Amino acid sequence: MNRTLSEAGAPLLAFRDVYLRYHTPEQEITALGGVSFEVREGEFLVLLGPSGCGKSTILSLAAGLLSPSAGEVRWKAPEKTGIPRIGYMFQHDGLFPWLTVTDNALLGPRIRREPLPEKKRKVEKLLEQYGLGAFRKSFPRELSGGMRQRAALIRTLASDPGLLLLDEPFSALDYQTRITVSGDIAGIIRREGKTAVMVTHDVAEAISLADRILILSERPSTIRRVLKVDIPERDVPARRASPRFGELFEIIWKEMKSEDGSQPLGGA
Amino acid sequence: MDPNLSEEHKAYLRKRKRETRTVSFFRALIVLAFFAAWELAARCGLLDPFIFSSPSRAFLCLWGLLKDRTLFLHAGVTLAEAAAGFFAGSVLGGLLAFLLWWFPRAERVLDPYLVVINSLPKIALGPVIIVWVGSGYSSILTVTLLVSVVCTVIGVLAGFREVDREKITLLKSFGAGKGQIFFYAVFPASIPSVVSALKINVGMTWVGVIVGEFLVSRSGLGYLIVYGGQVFRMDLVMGSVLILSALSAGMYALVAFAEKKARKFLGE
Ligand SMILES: Nc1ncnc2c1ncn2[C@@H]1O[C@H](COP(=O)(O)OP(=O)(O)OP(=O)(O)O)[C@@H](O)[C@H]1O
Ligand SMILES: [Mg+2]
Repeated sequence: MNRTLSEAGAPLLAFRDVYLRYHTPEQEITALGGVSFEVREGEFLVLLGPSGCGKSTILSLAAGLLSPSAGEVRWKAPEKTGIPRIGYMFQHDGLFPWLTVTDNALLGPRIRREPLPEKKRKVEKLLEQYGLGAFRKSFPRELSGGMRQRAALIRTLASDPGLLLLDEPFSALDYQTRITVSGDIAGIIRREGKTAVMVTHDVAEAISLADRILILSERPSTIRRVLKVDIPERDVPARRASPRFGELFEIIWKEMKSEDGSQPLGGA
Repeated sequence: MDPNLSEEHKAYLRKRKRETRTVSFFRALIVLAFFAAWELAARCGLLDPFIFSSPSRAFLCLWGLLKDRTLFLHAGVTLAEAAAGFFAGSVLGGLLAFLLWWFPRAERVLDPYLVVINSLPKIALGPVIIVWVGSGYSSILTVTLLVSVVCTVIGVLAGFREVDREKITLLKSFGAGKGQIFFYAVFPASIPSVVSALKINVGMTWVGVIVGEFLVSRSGLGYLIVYGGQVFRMDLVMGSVLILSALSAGMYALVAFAEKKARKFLGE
C-alpha cells in the first residue's frame, strides 16, 4: 500500500516493514523480507549490500514502479501523483546515443510536455555550470565516461526531481575515474540541495559519499545495520584521508563478511 | 601516405592494402574464370549451347534487347514491382510488429502461428492467389507480401524487444506512457535491427516478385525467363538471370548502406 506522508517534518520517503516477492513459474522469490528505513530531506543515503540482495528492487519501490507485497512505502509529496518527481541514474549512463547532450537533458520536460524554451535555458545553464557548456551539441559517444555521467545527472536535474535514485552509477567506470567522478557527482547533488538514495556494493565508495549507510543482508533482504558516516569532510580525498574512514571500513567489512563467506567489494 | 607515420605503421598499412587487393583480385578471378569456363565449354562442345547458352550469346541477346529498348521495359517492370513489394512488405510488417509489441498478449497468442507460417512454403499458394486476386500486378504483390511479411514481422519485433530495460525504466520515471516509450526509446534504438530485418526482406521480395511473374505476368524479367524457357531461347533466360542478379545485388547494397548509416546514428 502506498500513501503520502503528510505530517510536517516527516522524512521524504519511508519504508515500513516492506516485503517484496517476485513470482516466476518456477518459484517465488522473496527479495525483500521486511525492510524499514527513512530517507530524510537533503541527505545522501547509500544502500550497501551483496549482489542480488534486492537493492535495485528497493529503488523501483521508491520510484513507485513496483508496489510492495506487504508493508508500505510512503512519500512526502505535494504533487498530485503522490510521488515526488524521481530522477534515475544507472550503471550505464543511459544517455540516448542518438540525441545530443542537450536533447538528452530535455527528455523529461519533453515527455511531460513542459514549455521547452524555459527548460532549455535551465539545461544550458546547468551544462555551463558543470563544465559541459562546450558539449551542448555533442553526442554522448564524444564524451568521456565521467562527462557522460555528469550529463546523465544534468538530465535528471532538468526534471527538478524531489528524489534522486542512483543504481550503481559508477560501477561501469574504471577505478581511477570512479573516484573522481563519484566525488564530482555527489558534489553536484549536494550543491543542488537534492536528496539521493544510491545503491552500491563498493564499501569505500559508500563511505566516501554517504551521510548514512544502510547495510542490507542477503536475500530475503533486511536492514542489518544503519551507520552514520561521522566524518565532517565532504570532499572525497579528504574523507579517504581521515582515520575514521579506515575504522568505518573495518566495521562495514566485518558486518558484511560475518553473514556468509563471500567478500564484499572494496579496497581503500 | 602521411609522412608523419612511423615506418612500422606504414608497413602495416601497405600490408593491409595488399591484402585487400589480393582478396579483390581473387573475387574478380572467380567471376572471370566462371564465365571463361562456361564460354569455352560451350565453344568446344562440352556444353550444348542450345541448352546451356553461353556468356557471349547471353550478352549478345541482352544487347539486342537493350537496342530495341525492351530490356528497359522488362527490367523496369520487375524493379518497380520489387520496389513496391519491398516497401509494402516493410510497412505492413513493421506495422504488424508494432501492434504485436503494443499488445503483448496478442503476441503470445499468435506466436506459434507466426512460427508455423514463417516456415511454410507460402509460394505453394501461388496458383490459388491467382484465382483469388486475379491475374495482374495485384497477384504479384500479394505473392510478394505473402513471402516477405511474416519474416519482417519476426525480425522487427525481435529488434523492438532488444531495447535496453534501463532506458525504458528511465522514461517511465519521467512519467512516459507506452506511446512515448515507443517513440523516444524503442523505435530509435531498434532502427539498426529493423534495417537488418529489411535486408532479409530484400531477398524474400525478389523471390515473391519472380514467382509472381512466373505465374501471371506478360512482362518483366520473370516473364522473359519463363518465355525464354518455353521457346528454348536459353540466352534470353541466362541474360535475364544476369540482369536480375545485378538488380537484387543493387537493392541489397542500398539497404546495407542504410544499415551502416543507421548504426552510425546510434553511435556504434
Ligand atoms: N522481475 C523479476 N522477476 C523475478 N525475479 C526478479 C525480478 N527482478 C529481480 N528479481 C530477483 O530478485 C532479487 C533481487 O534483485 P535486484 O535486482 O533488486 O538485486 P540487486 O541487489 O540490485 O542486484 P545487483 O547487485 O545484481 O544489481 C534477485 O535475486 C533477482 O534475481
Ligand atoms: Mg541492481
